Amino acid sequence: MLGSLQRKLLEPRDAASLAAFRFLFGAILCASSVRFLWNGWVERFYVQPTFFFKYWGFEWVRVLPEPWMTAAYVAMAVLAAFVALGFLYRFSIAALFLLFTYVELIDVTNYLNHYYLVSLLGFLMCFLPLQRAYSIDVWLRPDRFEPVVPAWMLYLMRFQIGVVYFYAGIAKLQPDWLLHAQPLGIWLAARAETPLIGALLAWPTMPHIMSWAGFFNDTLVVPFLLWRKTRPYAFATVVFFHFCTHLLFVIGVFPFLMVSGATLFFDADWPRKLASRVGAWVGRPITPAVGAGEPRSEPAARWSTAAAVLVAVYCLVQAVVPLRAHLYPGDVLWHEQGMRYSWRVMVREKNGSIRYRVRWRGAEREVQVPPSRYLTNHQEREMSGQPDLILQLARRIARDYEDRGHEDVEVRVDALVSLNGRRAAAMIDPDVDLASESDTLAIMRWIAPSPPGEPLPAYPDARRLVVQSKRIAR
Amino acid sequence: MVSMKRTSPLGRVAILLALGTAVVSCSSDGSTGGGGTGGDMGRRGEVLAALGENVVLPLIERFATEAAALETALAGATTDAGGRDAAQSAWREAMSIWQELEMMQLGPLGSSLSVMGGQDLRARIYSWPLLNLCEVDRQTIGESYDDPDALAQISGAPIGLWAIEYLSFTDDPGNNCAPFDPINQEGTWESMADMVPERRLTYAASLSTLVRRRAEELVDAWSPADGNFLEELSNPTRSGSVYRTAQEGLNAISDALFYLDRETKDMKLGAPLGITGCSAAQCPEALESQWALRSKEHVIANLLGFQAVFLGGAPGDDDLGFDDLLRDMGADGVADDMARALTAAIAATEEVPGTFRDALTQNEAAMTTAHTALISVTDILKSEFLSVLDLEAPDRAAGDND
Repeated sequence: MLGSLQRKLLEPRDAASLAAFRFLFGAILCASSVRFLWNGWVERFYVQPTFFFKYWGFEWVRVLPEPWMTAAYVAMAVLAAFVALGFLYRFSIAALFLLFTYVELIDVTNYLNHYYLVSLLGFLMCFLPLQRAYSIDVWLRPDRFEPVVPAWMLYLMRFQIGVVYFYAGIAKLQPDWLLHAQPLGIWLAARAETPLIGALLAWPTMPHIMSWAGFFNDTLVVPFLLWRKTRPYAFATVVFFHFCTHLLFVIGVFPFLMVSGATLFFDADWPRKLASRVGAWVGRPITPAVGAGEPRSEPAARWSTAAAVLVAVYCLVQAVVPLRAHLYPGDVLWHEQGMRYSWRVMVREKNGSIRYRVRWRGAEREVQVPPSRYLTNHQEREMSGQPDLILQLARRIARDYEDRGHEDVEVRVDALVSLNGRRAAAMIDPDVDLASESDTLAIMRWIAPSPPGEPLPAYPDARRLVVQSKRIAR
Repeated sequence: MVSMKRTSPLGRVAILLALGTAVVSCSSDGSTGGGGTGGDMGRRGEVLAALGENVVLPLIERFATEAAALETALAGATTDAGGRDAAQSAWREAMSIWQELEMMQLGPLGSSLSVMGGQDLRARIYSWPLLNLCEVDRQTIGESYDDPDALAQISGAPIGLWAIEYLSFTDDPGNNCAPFDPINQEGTWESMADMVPERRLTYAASLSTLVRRRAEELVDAWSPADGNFLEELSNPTRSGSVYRTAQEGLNAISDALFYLDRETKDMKLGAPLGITGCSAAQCPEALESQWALRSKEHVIANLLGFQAVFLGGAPGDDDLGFDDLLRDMGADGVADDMARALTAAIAATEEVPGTFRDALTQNEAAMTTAHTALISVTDILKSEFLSVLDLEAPDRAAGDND
């Protein structure tokens, strides 16, 4: 059986689809980096903040002073373009992965699921010879041309994309999403006046329809992409779904990344077939690459046990890490322990009001510290729903007061948080001194239980979203 | 008609993609305002338009009227009997309107760096908390103090209602410059000491002319007959508009409401009380109105401005405001709690006896109660209000989500 699996994994596959993905991935990241620079986000996310939230285990990562952060994004844009074109690929993809991961590790409030996905894909691409076909590297060194890759490389990339969809679907398997259609009800109501499609969005059952459609899309799209008969329709669904999300929400390059990822599920020679059809259509037939589709033994089909084990471990980690949220009791959308890296994409609307209270030995009374003294608006908003970040800032505030000579500094927090339109409730036990708590993977007992009750009803009176009701009188 | 049966899977995908792209293209044009097709006029659009027409523009027009009255009063401050008192009274009237407008820093009033459609008019009308008092003193004994046009040309010259407060209310014969500053080192201030009171009022009159001009500029910027910023709120999806959607316009107003959190709660109340941003037990020097002693009235006016935006008018009137949007979403409890919290905060602030300066020494508890009541308002603002209406906190719109 192992031998059969080995043969299956080493079967040669056309390198074209992975090369196409390499191009799309590089192009998307290049555009993303340019957009980041163009929007002035380097200044906003890396220069303006005076305090940065650290990732557990990566506390040593430090922001670079300007102009080096800008230079990092310029370098990423160039490296991403190189990756797209397959120029100096090995160096470019490794440097791109390291730089991208570095800038994302600087501040937790910048965490986005798709940034994490970019890092993972970049990491995998460092080990795959995606420059061996359709690249400048091969154009410069034709002897390096490899028209096929072992199947496991394609499977590995498909697995990574599949994990995202699968867990994003599982994340929607909860009452707020499926029964109450939240937070989509809140989000769609705010877009009910969008030209052309607004009336459609205001349709009373639309939040429920879209919630269930999103759930089914995420959970079933991978099997349907894998099955040849349903693949074209599944891909069309993917494109439609992601363009809808692109239209309605500000989610950056995520839709483009996922649509690009979905192309990996087509037969590996789809780019050449497409090129042939286009060529025939314009009257210039394109000849298939030599050797494509033929089994090869060297070097692609070499079996390395060590590599196989590493790939298996990687897949196991990717399959298990998103599940760790279930080790913590309560609603993960509330306590957020295990939330990151679990592909819970766009499943919560969470806002909070956070206020720190500081006391020290000999103090006549508590002093209030507004988060704005340390954070930008963006950071404050992101922190307000994430208990571990609230803890990080509490410990920093405690350190600051200790540095000023105060002893036995205690920091407590009033954190009123609203999840999916529920009435605001205390997310942190206001009596616990956070200065004495540690940021660990253990269950954080100082996080208050999630508030009882249902979220806001979706569209209690949908007609009012689009129908004029009161006259505007002056 | 294309026959899907005869088309290969790849071909079918291509057709579907083309159709999808066509739909997306049409939608994109509209949503960015480029197509100028306009959206359905819904409740959010109604509320946005109503807030512009019923709340912001009338208040701006009232402020322009008061600014003109202040100019008139200050023009007679040095010549008429009781002129200074009349000028101070006019300043109080103008400021009570202005402090309500502080909650509505959207469009032309806002900063050109951070507010959509911003023209920096706020900074030129009321620069608090940034004021160089030494520079005010330098200008008082300078050459341009009685010439509004010349003052307007001087880079860094203090202008606006805060400088007017100092000039109209202070009786301090001294100045705020360091001993080594030329006006002290060279004895200029001392030599002109007798003229300082009159010069201060004349300088204030010059500044009031500039404030009146800025107020008129503001009215023009909003007026349908001129800049017509009102149109940005009543028809936000039209081609070339500042806001692409009614939601974006509402978010701009919501951003402006956050003044109550950072400025009113933390700076105007929290800092003097020593609760926020003050390392001492109390920081009376952080009080907003140092000379007219109107800090309490300013906070009340801020709350009234917030209330007007939230309710769309005065309490009890059936006006369109954010409370209606909350009720539309089924969040009646949030709307009621916010209305109650606002009423309570206004009452608690009004109940502080005397001025805030008095209260700091004699009745700190009452002022702390007012601060706590204000926290109740900002707690709702930052949590349920934003969540239910899918509004973003200020500056949060920059960046992506997922």
